[in-house]
Amino acid sequence: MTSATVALPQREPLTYDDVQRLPDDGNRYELLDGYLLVTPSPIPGHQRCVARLLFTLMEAAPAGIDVLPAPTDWYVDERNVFEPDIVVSRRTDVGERRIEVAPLLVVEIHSPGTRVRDLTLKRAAYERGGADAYWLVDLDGPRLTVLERGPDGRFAEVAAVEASDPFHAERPFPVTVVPADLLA
Amino acid sequence: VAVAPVLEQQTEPLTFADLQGLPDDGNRYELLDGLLLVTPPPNTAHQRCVKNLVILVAAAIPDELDVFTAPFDWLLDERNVFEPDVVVFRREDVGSQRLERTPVLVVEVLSLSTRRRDLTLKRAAYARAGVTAYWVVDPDVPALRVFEAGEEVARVDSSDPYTAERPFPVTVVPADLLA
Repeated sequence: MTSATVALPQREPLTYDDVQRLPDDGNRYELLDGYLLVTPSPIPGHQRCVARLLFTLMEAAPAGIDVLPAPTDWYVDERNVFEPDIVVSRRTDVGERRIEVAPLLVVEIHSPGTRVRDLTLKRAAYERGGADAYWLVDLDGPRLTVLERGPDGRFAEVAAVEASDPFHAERPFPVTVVPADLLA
Repeated sequence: VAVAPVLEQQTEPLTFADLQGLPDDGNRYELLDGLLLVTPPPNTAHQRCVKNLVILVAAAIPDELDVFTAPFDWLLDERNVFEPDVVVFRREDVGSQRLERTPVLVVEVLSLSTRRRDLTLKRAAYARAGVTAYWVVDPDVPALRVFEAGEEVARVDSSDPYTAERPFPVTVVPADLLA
């Protein structure tokens, strides 16, 4: 069952340095309020979707904008560190080791097993963290749900498209995404 | 510093079987819809609250109920496994290893890292599971908040008593939990 051991301090909350000591073993380790979220390796369909969306975003991204796949650390504070499937940031906001400025866009691709994480935990955490937009791709459908930060600082759902319906994004830059194409 | 294991590389979602190889190392390992939540051990005030709650509850429950503290697995389904701070259940519902039926009362004592989770995700998960009452103790106030079916039905602070009818009659005074 266990393939390695790591040292975790016996106190809460856990911090960024504690997570740095965890091994690069295929699991995704994130900190939420100082407890650890562990997500095992994604399925191939998930990775195909990441690759397609990454390509689409990179093609459309203007100069000076970075489109980065996980594992890229988005450091919100000492107790909140996330690794979104895709993070889009101004290149000037991307540090040598981690991103410390709220991204322009974060994307999570979920399968049935990670829906709750993405729809509740991550939605609240990314809203608090200050991301300007949060896209959720549901592999069932497939479906793209788009949340954007409103004037009140809260995420609001601005679009939900399925299958071959296109979504024409304006934020973080003009790009068209067709959910069905992400699985092709 | 304790040694914690890393799961062998798996694909999501995790299931109850994946938890079985994890050690009894003081960390709390829970599954929420197949996502592993690892919570470090709680502090002294938290444990004092748990202890006092158990004493209070154990004296109040009828014979057909029992009260346990974490770590004790409540297996809701293969992808949802919780270790509540305090859990009260029918004696006939517990197996030799874990609880596999819905408890009548679940209590979580808030800590720095679990505060938000206990009040949102766990509140929703416990309501979905059909727990009769969910109590949240905030040792910092101190306060007791009572949820039924996900809705807050009572909140008392400090030395104000809360007299419960469900799932069994008992009176809780938040300040006494820290004594």
